[in-house]
Amino acid sequence: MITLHHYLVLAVILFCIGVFGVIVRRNMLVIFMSIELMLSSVNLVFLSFSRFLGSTDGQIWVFMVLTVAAAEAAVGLGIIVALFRNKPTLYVDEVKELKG
Amino acid sequence: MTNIMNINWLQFADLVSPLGIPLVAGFLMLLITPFLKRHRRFSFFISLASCFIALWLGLKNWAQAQETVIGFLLFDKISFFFVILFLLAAILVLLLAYHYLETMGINRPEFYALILFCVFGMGCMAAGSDLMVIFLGLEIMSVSLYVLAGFHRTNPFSIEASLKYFLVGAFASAFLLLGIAFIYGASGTTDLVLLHQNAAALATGDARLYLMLGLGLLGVGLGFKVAAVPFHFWAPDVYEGSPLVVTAWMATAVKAAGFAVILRAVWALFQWEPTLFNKIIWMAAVLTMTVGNISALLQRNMKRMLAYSSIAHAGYALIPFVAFHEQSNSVVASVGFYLLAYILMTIGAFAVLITLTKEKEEVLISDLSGLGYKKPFLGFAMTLFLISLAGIPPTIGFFGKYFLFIQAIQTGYIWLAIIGVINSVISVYYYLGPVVAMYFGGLSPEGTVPSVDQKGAAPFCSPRAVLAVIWIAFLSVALLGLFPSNLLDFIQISASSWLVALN
Repeated sequence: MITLHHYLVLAVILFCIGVFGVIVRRNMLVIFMSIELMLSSVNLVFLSFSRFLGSTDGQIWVFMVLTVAAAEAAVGLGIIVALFRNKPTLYVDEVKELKG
Repeated sequence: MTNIMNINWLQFADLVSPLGIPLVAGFLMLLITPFLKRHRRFSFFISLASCFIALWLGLKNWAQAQETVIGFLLFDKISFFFVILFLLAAILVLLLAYHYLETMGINRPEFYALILFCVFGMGCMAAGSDLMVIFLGLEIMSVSLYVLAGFHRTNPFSIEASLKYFLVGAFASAFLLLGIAFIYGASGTTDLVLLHQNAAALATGDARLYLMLGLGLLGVGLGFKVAAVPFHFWAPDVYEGSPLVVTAWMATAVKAAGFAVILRAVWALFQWEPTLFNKIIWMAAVLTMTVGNISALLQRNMKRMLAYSSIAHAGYALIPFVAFHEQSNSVVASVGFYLLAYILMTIGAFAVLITLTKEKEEVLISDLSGLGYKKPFLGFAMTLFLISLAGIPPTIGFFGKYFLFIQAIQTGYIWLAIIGVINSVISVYYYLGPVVAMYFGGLSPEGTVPSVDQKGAAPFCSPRAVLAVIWIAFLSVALLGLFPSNLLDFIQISASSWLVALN
């Protein structure tokens, strides 16, 4: 029997993989993918709660999260392209003009 | 939530106009400007005009506001108060922007449109009665800001700031969302009023675990957004790299919007276990103040110094939240007053810095040397802004801090207030550094004052719009510092209507 907890544990594991990816990986695109993974795991949490609470609010939230993720993807990739024109690298370690 | 058929659309249009007009103006601008030759002036004036109209409508709506909830938006006096605050900051920043963008060669209509979209997003954050609208407003604001931070796209610093802001911002949004998801799981709703009424009752069994998890993650997300320690590390880099006007915008209005959301969230969600909440706030406030102030001591770059100072100010503004459970009314009022004071003095300080920039972004403290006798008014205004930021009477900054600390003292958090005062004393050191440079720096060895046109043209240029901003900020910092009570009444009325009506 698959319960709410199974879904939640899966979502939290996915979220942690995302956090880990953002912290450990140095490639901008991989960091970006990790953030998307975090957002997707949030969607899973919303959906599983929505299913088990019997309310549809959570599904509306998923639409909103997807929209926002798409908007962020557009802007984020634009920023990465603009950065690449200034300095042809994809590694955050090499982008350190600002000390800190 | 009201059924969509039952909404009185005329009333809705009237109430939402202070947010909607900037949004519509932003879209129109993007639509029309490609076909115009003199698009710079056009977009500047359109954006300014829309902000003024929205400000007027905001004041009108503030006066008539009753606690109307339409859909997911809550139109009460405090929402309109925050909208007025954002519009004021937007007007001041737009006035600063034109000349600055011309100097940098990046005067494009998108800048004005993005500022207007930001205002709309902030309005949604302040007026949202459901976490969904608050989240969407936050994202509208953040996505606009990612672009604004990288607006000087040939400048590697600006793009780097944009990238860092984007990565950290998106990361924080994910935390915020997971927090909201768990709150939804615990309570089955994301409506703030319902959460306020039910949160305590729901906190049993599994729901308690979800609620705790959700609130923790929400706190982390909001902490990132207002740059509270330990989630502040991005702020100095982003503030330093962004164009100066964008930094001014981020340090003032964006921070105020973050605190508007925190006020709503604390009211709706965090009050069912006040002792634990107060402990966390205590720690966060002390850490944020201390780390911000100590790091600011070491800075040579004015932008970086003001970035750390803005972290420290976020710490001061967190102090009164320990008293939220006992006297929510005056806490909301004191935070509102402080945010207004902070916006005025920080934009003033940035306006003076903008008169100093000439095609390079960096402004060192040594660049200010001699300002006091080369441009007496600019020097004097800058001194007043810095003194106000340090919280020395009789400026608005002093009363802002006084109202914050008094909340903590009234509810028995004497030590918190004492640490706050000690931090203010530390901050005097770095705020007076530029003042010393302005009045005692740049003298020739004999101690004589060098004439202004020694190096050809004077390095300080102050076009009319920037000067107007400095005057506005100067007069309000000085006069409201002398007569703070009227303003405080205005904010107190806003705060009480919200909390009385919905409790």
